[in-house]
Amino acid sequence: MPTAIIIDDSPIARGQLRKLAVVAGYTVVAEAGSAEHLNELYEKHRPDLVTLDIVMPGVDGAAAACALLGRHPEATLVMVTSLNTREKLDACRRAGVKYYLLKPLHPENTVEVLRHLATHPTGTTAIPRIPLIDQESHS
Amino acid sequence: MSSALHPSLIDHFLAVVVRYLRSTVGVDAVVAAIGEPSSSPTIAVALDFGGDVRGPVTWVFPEPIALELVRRLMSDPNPDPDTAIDGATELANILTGRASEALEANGFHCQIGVPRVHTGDLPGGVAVRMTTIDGPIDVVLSMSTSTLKEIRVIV
Repeated sequence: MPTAIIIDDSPIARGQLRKLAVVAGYTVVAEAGSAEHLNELYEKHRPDLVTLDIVMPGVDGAAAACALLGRHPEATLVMVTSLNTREKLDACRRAGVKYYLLKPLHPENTVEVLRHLATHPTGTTAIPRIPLIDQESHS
Repeated sequence: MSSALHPSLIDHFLAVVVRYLRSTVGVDAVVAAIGEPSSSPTIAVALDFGGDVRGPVTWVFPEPIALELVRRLMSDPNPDPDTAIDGATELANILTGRASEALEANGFHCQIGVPRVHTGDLPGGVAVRMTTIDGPIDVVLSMSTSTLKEIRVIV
């Protein structure tokens, strides 16, 4: 069963992502309200998926993504954010982030994306790139 | 030099807010009044803008709307009333993040800070009251734009 780590400062958002990840077939092995210890969590659990908010106290998600992918380019990382501004998205893209989900999350579409990532991990050549997914446009 | 948000920018911001209130918590909100904020003490959620737009946006939600977000996100038909603050914080985060697209679309590149609970009188700024079936939603736009940037965007 694939495993996931959820990083979001909102307990409500973490709760929603936990439920959706479980529906998508993941075991959530760790959650945190900040990205401060993301590298340690990743190295401890070696999850198949990391979801990461962008705007958080302390280290922001873009910087955390950059640090994680710098050490572990094989990591499958999904930014889950309400922020659709150019600067942060560019920072994430420069860091190597390929997947974004925009809040508010549409449950069915989020589960679909997470299932897709479970069967097509980053690094395989066959995956279609999942662009910036605006959940509202699917609802 | 800085100046208050242009009315058209406020309109664009609020249009996005109304759209996302509908999709996020199923609430139909109508902008009912724009003016000065009331001075009544309250608990609210504020987020600070930085970049081309600076200053806080402050949200006040009725508890039923904050709990509706918890209900929807957690699939919990009876959320604990203690989670209302968490719901209000996440709703403020979603609405501000998405409404910032209106600022970006008008050429104002901005960053948004972490949501924080605001206790006490609402700050100064453009106060907007939206009416909903669950009670009023108040948002106070205390942000300003760089005058030079505004001139460049308009030109």
